[in-house]
Amino acid sequence: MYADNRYSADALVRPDAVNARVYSDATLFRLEMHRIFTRSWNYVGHASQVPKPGDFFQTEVARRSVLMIRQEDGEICVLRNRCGHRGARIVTARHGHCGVLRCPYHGWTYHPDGRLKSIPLPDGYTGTELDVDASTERLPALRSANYRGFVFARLSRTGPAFEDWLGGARRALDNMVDRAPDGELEVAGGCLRAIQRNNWKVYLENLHDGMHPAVVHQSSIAASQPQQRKALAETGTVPLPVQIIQGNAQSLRQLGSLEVTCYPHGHSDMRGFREPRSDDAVFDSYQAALERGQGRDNALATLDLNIHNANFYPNFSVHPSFMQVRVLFPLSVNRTLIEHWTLRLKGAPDEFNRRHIVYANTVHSPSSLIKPDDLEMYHRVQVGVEEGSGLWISNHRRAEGEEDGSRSSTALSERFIRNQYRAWGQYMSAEDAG
Amino acid sequence: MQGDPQLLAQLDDAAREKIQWLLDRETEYLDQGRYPEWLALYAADCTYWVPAVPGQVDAVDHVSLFFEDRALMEMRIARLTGGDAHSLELPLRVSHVTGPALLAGIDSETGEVQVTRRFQATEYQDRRTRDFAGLFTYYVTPVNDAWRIRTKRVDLVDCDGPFEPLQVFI
Repeated sequence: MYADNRYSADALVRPDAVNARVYSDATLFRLEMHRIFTRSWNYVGHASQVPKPGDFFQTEVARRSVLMIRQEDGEICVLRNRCGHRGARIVTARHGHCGVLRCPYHGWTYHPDGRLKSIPLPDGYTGTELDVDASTERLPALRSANYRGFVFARLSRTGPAFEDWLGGARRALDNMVDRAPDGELEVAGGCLRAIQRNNWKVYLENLHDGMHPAVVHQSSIAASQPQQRKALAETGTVPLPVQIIQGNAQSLRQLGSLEVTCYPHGHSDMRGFREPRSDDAVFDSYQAALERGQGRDNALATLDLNIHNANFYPNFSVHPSFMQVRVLFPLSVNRTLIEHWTLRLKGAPDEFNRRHIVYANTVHSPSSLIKPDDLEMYHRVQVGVEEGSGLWISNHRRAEGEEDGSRSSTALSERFIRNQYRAWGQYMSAEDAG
Repeated sequence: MQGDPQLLAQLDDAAREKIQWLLDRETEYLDQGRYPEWLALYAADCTYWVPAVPGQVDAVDHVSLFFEDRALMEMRIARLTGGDAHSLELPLRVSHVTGPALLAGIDSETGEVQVTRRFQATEYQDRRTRDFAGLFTYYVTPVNDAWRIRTKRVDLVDCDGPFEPLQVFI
């Protein structure tokens, strides 16, 4: 079906540019869902969302509904949410608790680990081809991995092993857990959902782009300046939302000093541009709690690793120092849903955890003063690439001398985008084995 | 203004008329884009809150669609009126329709009055319209001889759904 050369990765991706069709071709989008999203590991949810056996959380992997369910033995499994009988979706709630999973259509029931428990009128299948043997019939389980509370799943039988896929990018997740005085995180404070009118890759390609903030965010930078002056004059301290918005006003020199590290499988992370520690009483009380919980040396080392954001290709991004989690769901070739969650540091002062809520409201809420200008640009890219093929999208910036073996670059380089397309090409070129 | 007769009896006609006028101006100024005049209807320590889940009680430990004090409201207005927002290059227009104002409570200590009203609003930009609907809850407080809005809470029927950007106050 896809033997057509127009869909080969070689025809679409060069080391430093991609054909506009990668963002606009609906057939290619379906191929991506199959070859990238079913074969890669997708972030599903956090273990704290299903604390007790039978607790479930519903989400999507590669556009299929799945359930993350806590088992009796404490393990977490990820199941397809589709009855083996007529294919009906079993659960529609986002989260809840179940003793058994019961299909609301004809009452087939499944154990929380996916095994078939019972069907009505079982003798109706006697002598038929349908195998309703409870030992073999089940809701398919995805391969899943729980990395320090972050739960990932892979739909396809083939694809990278989890440890290989995660690789060195794990340091951002480690750093988040290590920031908790009690050594644990939990999802708290709700979810924000944003619709973007662009291909999913347009979004991922903006996340370490140091060239856009001063241009794209001129309106919010300008709007925050009077508030910054007023706050400094009146109280001597700048409110957190104003500080966050002013973060986009950095010079190219500052951005040029921000290290971006790329990893295999398309992942990358970027150093933070804010001071790793803030000089105030709330932070001091948090640091004291962290030192009590984790020891002074560990605490200082954890706080010094200042990562602004980290991206785990293709569906997961985190802001470690503000405990922000973003999950990407491609809806169609030109429509993308981003779910945003906040993690609470167990053992940290409430006042400190509340900063993460303020960060979410300021940056990730639909009403953010920052975000609409980003989404406007993503959409303008989308309408541009949809005007026809023949256009090659440039990823050239700071590509010169890249083959020197160094993994390091800065926020002024498009290396992280080139790295994403290396992964894209690898996934898209692999044969359809299963 | 409608509501429980015993509650209504605690406000004199002049107060009811002033509050009604205040709330009518509130949405009218939004629809006309008269943001500085709109903000002047609010008390100095005002809050504008759009919860992210139905019945949300807390905006400190839970995310919100909007949760703004006066400084943040001023910052939003500065962006809306600054003329340099890319996402507002094409005009964004809104029209509200509001239901009857309903007196929901009076704080016996502070004299603060709680008023609710149902609303629908249509927003237009770039050849597309979208609809908002829900409940406004106003906490209106006497300031000198006038009434001012201390808090406006907007409960959208689809508050926990996905959204494209929300740039203007609802």
